Amino acid sequence: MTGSIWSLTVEQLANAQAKLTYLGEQTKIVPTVALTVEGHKLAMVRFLSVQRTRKPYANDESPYTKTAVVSRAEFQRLLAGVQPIVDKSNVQPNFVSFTVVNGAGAALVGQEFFISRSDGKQFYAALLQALSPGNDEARALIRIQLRNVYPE
Amino acid sequence: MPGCTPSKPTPGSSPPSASVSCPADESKAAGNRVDLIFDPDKSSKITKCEQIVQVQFVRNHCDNQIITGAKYSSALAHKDDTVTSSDGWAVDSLASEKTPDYQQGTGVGSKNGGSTKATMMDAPQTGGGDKGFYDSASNPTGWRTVRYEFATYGWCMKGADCGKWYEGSTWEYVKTWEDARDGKDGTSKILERNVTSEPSTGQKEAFDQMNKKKGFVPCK
Repeated sequence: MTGSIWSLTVEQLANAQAKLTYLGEQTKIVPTVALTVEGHKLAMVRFLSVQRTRKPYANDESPYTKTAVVSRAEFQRLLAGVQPIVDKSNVQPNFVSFTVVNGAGAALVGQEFFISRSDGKQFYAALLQALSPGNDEARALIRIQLRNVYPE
Repeated sequence: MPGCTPSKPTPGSSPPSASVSCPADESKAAGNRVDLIFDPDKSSKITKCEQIVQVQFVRNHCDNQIITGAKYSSALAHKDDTVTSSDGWAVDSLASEKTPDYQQGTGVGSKNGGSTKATMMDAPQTGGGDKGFYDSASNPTGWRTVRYEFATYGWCMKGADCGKWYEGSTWEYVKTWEDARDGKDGTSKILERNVTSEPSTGQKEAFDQMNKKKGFVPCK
């Protein structure tokens, strides 16, 4: 695995995918949300190579995982938008895991980040901000997950 | 794997088999995960139903006290007094959901000519809620044992049987402070696969409370 996800150009994001996995308190599964760039088919197994546990989270194995397609430009904006929030160390894996991968084999680039509950709303806001106003499907899935991880 | 309720011998008949089939025969638990399968062909209650779903009720026991989800954890704030029965039951749902079915469109069953099993998966997880798990040094007042008690019933959401309760299963998820200390997820276990009685008064109260709050009228 070489390089950094932060330095990828729009052209290089040909098979980029990301997922948001809830790791917090639950009695019922909070569906994982996966985002994949146009023209690329999501493969959940690709995330395992960069996930710290190297094994799937229970929520990722459920039949309730939701997937939406984003453009490469949206994906790049998304990375730029969340970088200041996710680029922190020492966050405990007890709220949301955000995992990104691009490329394959030796050229695979990716990383898993843990978002804290205190940073979560800012994180979801950055995701929504990065998506095009017309991408209703992706926006809806992220809003629903936000609603479920911050119930009121 | 525990079977369904053993059949009762009929005078003059051959000895009963070890168990009789029931809709939840194929349900299983491993680790903190459960897969609950409702097979309509093994139900003695179904007539005809276009949409068979499962409605799951949950009750939180923390060191043997029953408390609402909302009091246990801010992450379960939607499971407050307004949707929890007087004896602690709530429909197991997410904040975004408007209907009481666990399926929400995925794994819906039917028996309407042909038949399809209703399937669902769960994987409870907890860090001990807002109070956390006991630790002699860092959290001496934390919970020592958290148990989620579940009752999951087949229910007809659309079709001839609409509104009818079918057979159910009960199961539990338990996590102790030792599990938390050792980095374990806790354990799910199926307790009863063939609950033939309808949901309890408290469970039905919780069902009505959720539907009222969400503006959902069954079979309308």
